[in-house]
Amino acid sequence: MLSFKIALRFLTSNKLQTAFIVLGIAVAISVQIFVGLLIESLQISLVDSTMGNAPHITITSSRDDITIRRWEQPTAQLERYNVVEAISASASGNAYAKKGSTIKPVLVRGFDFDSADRIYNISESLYSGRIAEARNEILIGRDLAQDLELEPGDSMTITAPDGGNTTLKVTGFFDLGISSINKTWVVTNRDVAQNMFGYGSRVTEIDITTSNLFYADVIANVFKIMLNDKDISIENWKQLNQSLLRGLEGQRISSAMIQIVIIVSVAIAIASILAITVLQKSRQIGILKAMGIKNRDVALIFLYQGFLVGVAGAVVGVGLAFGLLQSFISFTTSASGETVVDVYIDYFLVVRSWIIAVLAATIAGLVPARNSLKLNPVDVIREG
Amino acid sequence: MDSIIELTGVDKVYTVGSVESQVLFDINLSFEKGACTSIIGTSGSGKSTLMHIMGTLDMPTAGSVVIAGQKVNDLDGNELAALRNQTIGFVFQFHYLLPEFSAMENVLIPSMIKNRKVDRQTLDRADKLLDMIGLSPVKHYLITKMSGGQQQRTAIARALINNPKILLADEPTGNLDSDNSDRICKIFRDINQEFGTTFIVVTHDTRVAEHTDRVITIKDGRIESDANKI
Repeated sequence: MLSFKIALRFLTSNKLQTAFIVLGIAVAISVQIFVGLLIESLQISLVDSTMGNAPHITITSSRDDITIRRWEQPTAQLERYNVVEAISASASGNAYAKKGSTIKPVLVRGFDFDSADRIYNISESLYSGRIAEARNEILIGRDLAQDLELEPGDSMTITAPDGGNTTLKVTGFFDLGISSINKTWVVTNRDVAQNMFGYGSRVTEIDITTSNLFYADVIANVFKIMLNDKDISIENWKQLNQSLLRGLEGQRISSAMIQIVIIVSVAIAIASILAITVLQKSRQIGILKAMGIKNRDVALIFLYQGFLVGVAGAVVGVGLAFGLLQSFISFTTSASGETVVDVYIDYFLVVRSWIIAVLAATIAGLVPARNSLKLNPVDVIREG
Repeated sequence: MDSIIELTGVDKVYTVGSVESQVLFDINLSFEKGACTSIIGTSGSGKSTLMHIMGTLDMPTAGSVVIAGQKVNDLDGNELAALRNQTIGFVFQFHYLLPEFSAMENVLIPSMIKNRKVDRQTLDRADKLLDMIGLSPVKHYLITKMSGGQQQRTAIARALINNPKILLADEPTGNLDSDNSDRICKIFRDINQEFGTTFIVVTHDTRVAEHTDRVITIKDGRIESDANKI
């Protein structure tokens, strides 16, 4: 308690110096939190824009006829697991869409609409018309609608690979943000697609989203073992997005490097400043030693000083970081309210940075604490 | 009577680089409990070094020092610190108070080192000591707001807070005018009589020595004379 009291009094007796130390720590911590949150937000935005409307795990057939026969049982089985957020069995096939004299290659996707919507957010991406309700109604992407010059309510003909034609009514257009989907997808009912391609009651893929997409590979492996079916093949988004993952990993490492460099510089700065305070307070330390204070308690004074400036600096730093984020959001928000990056506040990152800062500052106190042990009271007294 | 400090064959040699300089030669001294002694000598005679050794702030190069029955040569750093804290009170020429603290807080620090906290009894003792040396009205002043005489009296109260068996004073009046100097000497005498504290003052001022019962003269690191006045 005495060591804490002395540490506090040493700090408050030289307010300007203490304020500069605290400010130095605060600026470093605020930059650390700001950069950390910004990079994390960029990662989330990137993953969200890439994976937001896509399944994390896809089960396809490994058979030649590309269909999955007994799909109802495994779908129901997987649906029961908490990690599965949405699951949708679909029947898909390549075909041609015709309107007037224009013919375009398309991918017909036969969904159970409600289940599929939880994965692809089609209803939210609908920008014109309405969702398809009747059996002969379809939705198409923005680019395909433009290519075929269609309006909601128009009809179009789909030609299957076997030459069979099906005329369907377009009720709305969606924009899923990915050009290849907007250009080729034709969304219809599962049984329409099953009939169109002659699949019977079979499907071609089962799409799954999970509660944590970064564990999709692990979950996929568990499913593979659980289902143990040689006729199916299970892929996860990580296998298909290696370059994105490498990019994310690069960002994560650069973020960690920045944070480590900042923390090390803060620790060195605190250690140097506190080492100077040992010199400034050598007289007081000598007096205390002459009065019988133990070396351990003297060392504690400097550890407490490190801890106290660390806590104060980290508190101010968190405030500054939020100020920086607010300024960043204000500067990067356009008049229409769109932001360059959607900033996500990861409170775990904030608390972790806070704790690391306090720990680093306390550990930095070890340097002056060690120096204080070497102080001999008689030297101080002899010098007068 | 029992002796509280025993020095036997004490030498002190300082070594700076390859140069050795001996400042104390074969010192043999014994101080009885409750005695009031002065050690006088000119500047550089070795009297302060002797006091530092008696106060365990410095170690002899040769010889043994026994304080309150404990041979200091055998004690480690923490044991020496505890001995200083509980058995010895120091008053130096320069007050050596902590400027960041008030007079009252400075007085309480040795007790906080000893007990980690301050109880009612200690607070009462601090109040009594500050009252005894006439500092009650300024006891909550920061040290930097006090006069030289007040600072030195605060240092005396601090030296006494743990009720030490020994009070060592090194030129306690060296920085004070004659009025304050006389006042300090009277306080020391009163303390010696009231608390039975063994009192040893190192000084070059013969007027201070006049207030003590025994005067030891040291010259060039050797005891030149040792005289009891009573």
